[in-house]
Amino acid sequence: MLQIEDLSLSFGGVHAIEGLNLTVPDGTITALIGPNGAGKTSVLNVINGFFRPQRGRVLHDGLDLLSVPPYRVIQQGITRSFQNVALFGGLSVTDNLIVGYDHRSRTGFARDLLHTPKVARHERAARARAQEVLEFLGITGIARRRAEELGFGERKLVDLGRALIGSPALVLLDEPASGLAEGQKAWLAEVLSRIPAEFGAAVLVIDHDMRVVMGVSSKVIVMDFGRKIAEGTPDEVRADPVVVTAYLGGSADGAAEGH
Amino acid sequence: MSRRPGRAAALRRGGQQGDGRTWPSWTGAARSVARVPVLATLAVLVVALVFPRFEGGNTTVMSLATEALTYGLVTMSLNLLMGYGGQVSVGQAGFLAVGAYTTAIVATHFGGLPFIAVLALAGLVTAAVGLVLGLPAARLRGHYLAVATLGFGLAVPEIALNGGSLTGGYTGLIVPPQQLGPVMLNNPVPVYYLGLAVLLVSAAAIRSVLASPTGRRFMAVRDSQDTAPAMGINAGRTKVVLFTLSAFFCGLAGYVFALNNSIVEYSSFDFSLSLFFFAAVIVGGLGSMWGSLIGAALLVVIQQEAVSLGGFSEAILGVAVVIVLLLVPGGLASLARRTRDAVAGPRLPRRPAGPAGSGPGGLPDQRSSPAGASREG
Repeated sequence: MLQIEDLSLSFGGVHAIEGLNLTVPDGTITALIGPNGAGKTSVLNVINGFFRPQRGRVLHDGLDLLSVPPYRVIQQGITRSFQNVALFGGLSVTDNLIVGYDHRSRTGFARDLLHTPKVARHERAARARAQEVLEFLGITGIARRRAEELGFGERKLVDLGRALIGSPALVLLDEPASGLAEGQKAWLAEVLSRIPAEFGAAVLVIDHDMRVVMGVSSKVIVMDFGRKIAEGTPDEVRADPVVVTAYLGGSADGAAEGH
Repeated sequence: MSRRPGRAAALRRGGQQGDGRTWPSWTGAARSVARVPVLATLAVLVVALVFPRFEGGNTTVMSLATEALTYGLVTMSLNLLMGYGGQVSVGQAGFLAVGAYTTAIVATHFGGLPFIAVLALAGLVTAAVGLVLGLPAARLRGHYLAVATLGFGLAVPEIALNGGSLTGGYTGLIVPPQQLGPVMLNNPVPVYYLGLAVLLVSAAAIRSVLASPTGRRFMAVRDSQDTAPAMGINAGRTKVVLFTLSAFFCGLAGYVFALNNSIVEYSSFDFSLSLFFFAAVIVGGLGSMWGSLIGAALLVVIQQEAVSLGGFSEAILGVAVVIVLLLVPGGLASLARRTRDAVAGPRLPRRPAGPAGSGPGGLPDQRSSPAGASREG
């Protein structure tokens, strides 16, 4: 379980996050929504170790994540996707996924040079696992394409797959639905909803498109100006007048459609 | 790390359920990565193996051929750094010098050592230097890294010049002949074969590392250094390993260089040699092992032909590089790829489409139906 307690982060005089408390229970999907600039991505960057907060605690299964360097966070079972989908453009789709699996490899560069049986075993296991993830995402047809040749929607799915392949306990997804066409959003929602059952992972998903996340989340947390302004089930949050006001005074769903 | 049992099985089930439900615009025909056919590789190898049968008597030609092999390996090591690792070096001749001087010094002072030990030392000492250079280099990017490696490349010959009796100073060091079993490595043909063997083994090792976690880390840092940590990659450490490996192979080339030249002098490793390797990587094509070999061989030949023109040889080399880049911006390796595509058309997937591929993957390429898939938000 992920627990964030009294988290505050500021850049100079700008408060990105103020006194945030939130939990992501194991095996559930929690959504973190809010208008642009609400501090949602900053929360992911703190969990991920990219930003260090001024105050607060971030615990995962009781372990203090704030003392872990970013490249070790994956060892704690936490992976993430990126809003700008920073794939490894020169690598094939399969190799992009395998990079997300390589943290399990315990062979150093000397063994990799000699391609020892241990390396060969890792490569076979990684390839088999990548194939499974591609099947889960429904994109086996692009396995050998270079990432830089892909369309935006395909990149989004590969980015998601790269976060899933390492069998994480918690996946952080940064706006997985942004920039997708309607039909693609429907497929994404279905994929998201199946992650806890298929991978045994909890999901913390950020989005300002409320329809995708409302449909798949068991809990929704709303942020505005770095603070949590509401928390509850999707229906509770949708009916919350504070949330409606934050989304420009209109209905929450209506405002979200503007994005 | 598998926390929950049976997850893989659950995932497989999920994959089967997913088939056929995919949104059509996600799909695309697989395009295999460019691979030089096995036949072409064998043909080149056969030519390389029988070459001394025809030119073995001509010491100048044999020595030049060995130089092409040596420079080919240096260019490969630089390509590992630049093409696969995304790091710049304009001081690669410095590593070659460390390898060559190590060979000469070790062979002079420890004459009884078997050749393989001297070769290994040349590689390992150079790798150690690469590690030391890699530590600061890991913190630098782009132009700053280029200047740091430039400084290294300029410093090494100066250190050799002022190294006293250890490096032989201005006159350099004579390299004692090496003994390979019954064969004395003191004439061009055995040295050529040794150079070929070192090149082949190194190329195999580089290929092996590129298809391993270490190699993917190099390429991940090259393509997206800022997001690589989220995949568990320590970018700084990865760059140090990259510099160390690149230097190692360069050191092995230094061993062959020392044997081929019989003398190691500081003036052999000036800045123009570093630029030569830099140009060879670009001319051959970044990220292509074959390109590195072809680029180095081509530049060795051009340089040799231009020697008779005296001071113009450097200029001719430079002009040749510009011409190649204007005609083939992606380097000579991209020319081979384009020719193949023009003759045979882009390649189809190698693997026959199985049940998984026949659903969504069998539909038309997404590039021909980009509705929404390429729309950015």
